[in-house]
Amino acid sequence: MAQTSQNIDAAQAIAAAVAQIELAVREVQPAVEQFGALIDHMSGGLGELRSVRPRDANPEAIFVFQDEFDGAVTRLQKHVHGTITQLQFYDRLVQHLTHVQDFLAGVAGQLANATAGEDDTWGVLRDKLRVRLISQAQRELLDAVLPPPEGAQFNSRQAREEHAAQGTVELF
Amino acid sequence: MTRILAVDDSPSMRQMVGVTLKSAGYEVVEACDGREALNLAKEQPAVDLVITDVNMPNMDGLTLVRELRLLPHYRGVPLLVLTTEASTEKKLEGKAAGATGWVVKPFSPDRLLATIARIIT
Repeated sequence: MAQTSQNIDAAQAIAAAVAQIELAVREVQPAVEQFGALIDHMSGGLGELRSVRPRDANPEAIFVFQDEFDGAVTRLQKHVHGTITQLQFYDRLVQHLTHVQDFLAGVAGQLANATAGEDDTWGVLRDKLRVRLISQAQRELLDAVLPPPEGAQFNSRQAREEHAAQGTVELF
Repeated sequence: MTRILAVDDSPSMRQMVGVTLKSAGYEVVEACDGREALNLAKEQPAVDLVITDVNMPNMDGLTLVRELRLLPHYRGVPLLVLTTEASTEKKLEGKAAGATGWVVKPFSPDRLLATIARIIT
């Protein structure tokens, strides 16, 4: 009975953590969407600048400033592209948190369930999280803290290669 | 205008892919998972290129690639996979499914656009 009560307390504590993660992601979402929209506007504006210049500019003035103008637009476009690359780390963070959140929700559910522990429920939950994690570094961290029954195997080379592969393109 | 179907369950990723493609003058069609993308592919004329994530609800990206290759009007369409997955095993799985190429997130817009220009011309 005491065990069941402790389990329910633990389940409620974990459920509270799950709710906080969900709130944190939800609260920041509008700001990130706005940020994405601003990037979109900047990119669109640069496109307009490119198309307007030859049409509307004074031919003599544009002859003088053409290189500076084009150079400035190109540099700004590079900065916009840089923000696109960096913003993807936010998406990565959300994915990571979502998988952890689902894992914790599953743990809370099992703790609250009287039959928890009668089968390999914990292993199933753990494996499900491991499959959904999006990088070798994340999987190795899970293995280090919560090793599988057969023991953890670490492959730091694979993790380094994975990190180095970010942004790479391979055509088949 | 060249039409590209961008498939990702993350709205922010779809937005970033969309901004990148539109900045180069491409028309972008979006789908939030493999199933929606497949339905679009079945209902509409083929796009010029598909860019798809792998891990998505309802239908994952590699299943989408396999299903698209079964559609007669998609047999010759380049299918790019855009994912955080970087393992050789996954890439081989993608190649076997019929993917044209594999891009690892976070992507560089310049590199993605250069790749697209190369495979659709």
